Amino acid sequence: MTELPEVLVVDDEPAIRTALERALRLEGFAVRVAAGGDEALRAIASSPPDAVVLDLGMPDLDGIEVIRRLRGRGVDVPICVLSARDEVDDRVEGLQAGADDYLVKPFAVVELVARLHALLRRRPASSAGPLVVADLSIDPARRTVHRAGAELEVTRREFDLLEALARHRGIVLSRAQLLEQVWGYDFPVDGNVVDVFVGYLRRKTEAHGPRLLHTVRGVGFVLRG
Amino acid sequence: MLRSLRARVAAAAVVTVALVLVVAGGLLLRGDAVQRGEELDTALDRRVDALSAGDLQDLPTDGDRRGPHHRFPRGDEFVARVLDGDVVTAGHRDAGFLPAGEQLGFDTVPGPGGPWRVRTAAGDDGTLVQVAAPLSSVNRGAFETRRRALRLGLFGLLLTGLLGWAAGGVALRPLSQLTAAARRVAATRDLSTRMPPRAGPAEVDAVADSLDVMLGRLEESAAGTTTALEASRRFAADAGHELRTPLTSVRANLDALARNPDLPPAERARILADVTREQDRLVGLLDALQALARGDASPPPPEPVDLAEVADAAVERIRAGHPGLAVELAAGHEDLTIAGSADGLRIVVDNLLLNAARHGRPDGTVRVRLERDGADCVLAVDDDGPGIPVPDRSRVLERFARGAAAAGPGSGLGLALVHQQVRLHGGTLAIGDSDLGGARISVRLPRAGRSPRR
Repeated sequence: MTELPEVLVVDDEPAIRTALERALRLEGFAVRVAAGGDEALRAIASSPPDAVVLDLGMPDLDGIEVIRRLRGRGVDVPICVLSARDEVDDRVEGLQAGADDYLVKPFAVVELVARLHALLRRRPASSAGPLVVADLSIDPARRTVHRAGAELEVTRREFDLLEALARHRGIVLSRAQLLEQVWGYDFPVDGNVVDVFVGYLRRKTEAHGPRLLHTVRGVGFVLRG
Repeated sequence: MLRSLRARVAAAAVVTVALVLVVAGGLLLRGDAVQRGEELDTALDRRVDALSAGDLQDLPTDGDRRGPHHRFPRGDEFVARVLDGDVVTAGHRDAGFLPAGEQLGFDTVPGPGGPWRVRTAAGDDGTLVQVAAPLSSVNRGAFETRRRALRLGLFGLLLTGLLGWAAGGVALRPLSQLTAAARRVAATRDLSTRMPPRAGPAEVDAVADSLDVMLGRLEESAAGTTTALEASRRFAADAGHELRTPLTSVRANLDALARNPDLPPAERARILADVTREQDRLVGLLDALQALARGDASPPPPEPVDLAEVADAAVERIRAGHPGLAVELAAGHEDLTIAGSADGLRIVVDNLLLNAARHGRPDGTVRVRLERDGADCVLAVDDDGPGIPVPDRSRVLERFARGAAAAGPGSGLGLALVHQQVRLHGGTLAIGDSDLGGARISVRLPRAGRSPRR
């Protein structure tokens, strides 16, 4: 028996825990559950799962805080955030805190499964030297980004997106291409997550100089000096 | 029409002063004319007296200017004559125009260059002496005076207009400050703006006071609207959140069934039971949301409702739904009818019982006590669960709020519904400890129903 990928489902709602635990188990995952933020942090600390499905709104310690603490400790387990509010704010906050993707409740199980599989696909570590676009320097080996000599703090997903754009410097990449290259989604999903991350990267890179990450309307995004 | 109040003030001042000047000036000028006339008459008298003194022989006969002309100073246009058979004329011109002189005293006659004033007097020796002077000198003086008066008056009016304009501006400055402040409110929509400090006339200050009061009211009402909007926005968000949760588990369970057609029957049955339970929860949530919305709308007119009957029916329902639960009902024999809404009171009792059943021990005891207390009816529901900690007691009455320990089913709307209905009935709700070890929620409802004043 090959080892099943292990997913930790964190939600304060017993009905959702039960349903997701069952659905994911039937989809071939080993599932653990946690009823709150503290319990999730303990479970991850004792034995890190391969991916985390994390509800944002929990009474004891909310999802955003869980992500911050995990990322703060350098735990880079892929996290898919679940939000029960159809408002952009808390999803955006989740991604900003370091989550990799989000789903709005209710969602189809197949959607969650596809995203989990994509998140579980480990990206091969790059051995090439730094990529340079104008005064922006991206070092895949160290996973660091510098602009005009200053180091930029980027999350893992932001780095992956920037790296993908830098490797295709001057070439326009569509949202679908970026979703596939950066998130590993080879199925159609809402491409808004790309726009959200492009927004973060712009904010961070443009603090030190003019715009490098350009929108090509109707096509996608391109990195050029 | 003058649209500017300032211009109106100036114009009113000018018109008033003009009227005063016309009347006063008219009176003064008339007095002046009369006085000049009297002065002329006096001068004529003096001339007559002078002539009577015996100089008459010396009077030249033909307008010769020599002789006793010193009595007729140069420039004065006097004529005099003595009527004594011969006519002796003195003065600067021919006196032929003078009347025959039968009448003594003063007379005004036409003469060269206009009317002349004539004084006819009897001399010492039976002669008549006539002295005449043209009235034109008097008229010229009066005209001169009138012209001066007119010049002065016009200058006064101009000054009045300017002063009125200036004074109007000073008086209206507080008003234009008010205007500026009101415009600022309109432009910024900042209802916390207040009118400038009171410095103007009492009338303007009164306007400023009224505007401030109005702004205060508007600000309060806007704040109330904002609070209500914020509350309803939060409520909508909370309702969405609460509806998404059962929908999520239903969807996950349905997907599990659909994607795994070969599940063992026992697992299928478990999933279906979960789906059904969550679907019930959704319906319950919708019921509660609709009941809350109805309660937020205007309540129905009160009718007599027997609380004992309502409680009886509710106990029967909760027993049917929770076969293992022991529900004790103790109702007094007195009249427990109150004025209220039957639906609303059913919501109160049902939700209190449901709340007790959910938070009490499984197959535990729920105790319902109903009694009269003066003008009120008191309903108390006890459970044997963990109770509600004191800090949570006011919070659990809020919509979608749940006790920290309460992780079980429940929409978080039950007690909010109860509280809403109790308030609509003019009653109060208290959370305490039960003899059974859990929570006691007691509701006090006035038998007369809600007082007209909310």
